[in-house]
Amino acid sequence: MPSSRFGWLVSYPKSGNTWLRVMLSSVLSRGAPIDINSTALKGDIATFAELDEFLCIEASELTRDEIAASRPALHASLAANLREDLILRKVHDRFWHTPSGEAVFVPALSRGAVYLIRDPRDVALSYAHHRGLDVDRLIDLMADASMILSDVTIRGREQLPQPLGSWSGHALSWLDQREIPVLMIRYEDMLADPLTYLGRAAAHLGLATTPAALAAAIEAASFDRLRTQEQTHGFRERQKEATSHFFREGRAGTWRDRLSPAQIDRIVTGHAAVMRRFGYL
Amino acid sequence: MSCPSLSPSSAQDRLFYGLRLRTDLALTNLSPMPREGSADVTLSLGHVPDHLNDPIWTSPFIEIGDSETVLLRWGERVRILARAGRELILDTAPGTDGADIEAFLLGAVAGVLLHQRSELALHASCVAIDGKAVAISGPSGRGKSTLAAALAAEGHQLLTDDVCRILFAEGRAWSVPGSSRLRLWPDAAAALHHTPDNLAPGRSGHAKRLLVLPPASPSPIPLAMIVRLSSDARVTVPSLTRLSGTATMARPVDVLYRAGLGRRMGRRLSLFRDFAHLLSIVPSFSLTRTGNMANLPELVELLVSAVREA
Repeated sequence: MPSSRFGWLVSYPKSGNTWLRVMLSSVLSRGAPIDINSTALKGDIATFAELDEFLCIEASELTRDEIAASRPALHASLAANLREDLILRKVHDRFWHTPSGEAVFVPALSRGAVYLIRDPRDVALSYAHHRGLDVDRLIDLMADASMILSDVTIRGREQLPQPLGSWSGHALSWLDQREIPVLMIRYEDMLADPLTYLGRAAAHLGLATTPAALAAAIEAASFDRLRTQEQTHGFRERQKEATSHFFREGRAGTWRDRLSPAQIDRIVTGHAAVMRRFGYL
Repeated sequence: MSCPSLSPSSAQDRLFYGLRLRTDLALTNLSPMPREGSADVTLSLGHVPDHLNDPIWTSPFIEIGDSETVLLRWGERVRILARAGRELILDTAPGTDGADIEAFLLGAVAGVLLHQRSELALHASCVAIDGKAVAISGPSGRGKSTLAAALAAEGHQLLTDDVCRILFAEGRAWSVPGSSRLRLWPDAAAALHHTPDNLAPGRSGHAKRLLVLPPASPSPIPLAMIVRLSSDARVTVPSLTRLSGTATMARPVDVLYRAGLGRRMGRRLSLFRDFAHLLSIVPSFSLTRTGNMANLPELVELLVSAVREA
């Protein structure tokens, strides 16, 4: 078995990561429908329970620095204990190193990363609904270089702390590093032509597919199907603070009607360079 | 904050998960017992190496040398060598908070020691309800300690937090009292009507708070129920379901204390044989809580009613 088995599905939150996970999970199941609340949905995010199980320590007793320092060892232990040829993992972390200089996403264990990027104006809207925050507050968070998801502060978490950084910094951390091969996909492009872009993602991660299997996976992960599943059974990853469904609209460009000129201006001012680089300006 | 000091006048042993622990270190959170006879476990200060030679398994926190030798590291200041389930050697930097060392002893170190002694331990907080022990098990972060604290607030005796040693005797399983210290996240402490800032930190520099309850009497209590606690943000009311068949055996790592560590220490067969025996004599339940702390009283009521009806 090759040592490079991790396929990192990377994005800033609310950028189509779960949709890609469902599609790739279906590809791995030869186009079968995926129950989004079951283990058939591949690409879990790193959790305290995993750190407990694989490094044999009470993870919730560790400090943020200790957790950070142990992340490469967690990945090594997962690789040693899991049997899949391709270990898909969802990642919201920026690309980062431990204080001692080790890459958290260990290059030697990594087959590749798919980085999904989405227009930050749509991200702001979607993420505000997801977190139950107003859009202006969310725009502040997207500009905050010290932002950490699931930080260890006042309550127990399932997911480990994930250094996120600003929206721009997040994209640059992954796209400008040279340790892991990254395929960048714009959410808007995948929405317009899922067959092409799912095929590229699968190929980048070394998955053998056929056009028919890809088409079946795309159908299995259609927005309507995912939305129906969520309406019928809920979705375990929806946050309790959320003010809308997890699968909310699945469209691009809704910011044009929903953001104020001042909000648009704040996002563009804060992220112009990266937006321009990826064709959003 | 002080390093645990040698107190030569101390002529008492300590009760450590039902074992007689002999030490001259001033441990404040373990119940004293008159010093007599031979000890089950000794704890002393000494040199512990940074690493073991040729370990068979390592993590950033634990190195397994062989079935009899395990090195545990806690931060940069505390190292403990556990030998053959009988001897603990502590090496710590001057000025280390004694409470940190006790927290380590009562968790990871106890787990290693019990594995070395081929004892069965659950990853569970355990509470006695009307004289029946209920082990609340589950992966980290599901709310075991919070639920145990909520039950204790209703007058039920906390038997142990996080590590629950099981004894088999007289055809029954018994829960052995362990630590009466609960480590709670500030939001859980607040939901239980404590002011988090008034509680000591469970570990210096860590957000979790320490709720120290009166220790249980040392006698083991018959184990009446194993509860697998999970949370599901999709549900609005908690539910309790009796498990049967293979569902009781699913994911033993969620119920056993550090099953993976035990396996790496060479316990594969005995551990699962004991677990299977336990499940054959004690019923298992799945308890699903909502993502909301406000439902804690309902969760307590559900569990207490089930124990009383059993």
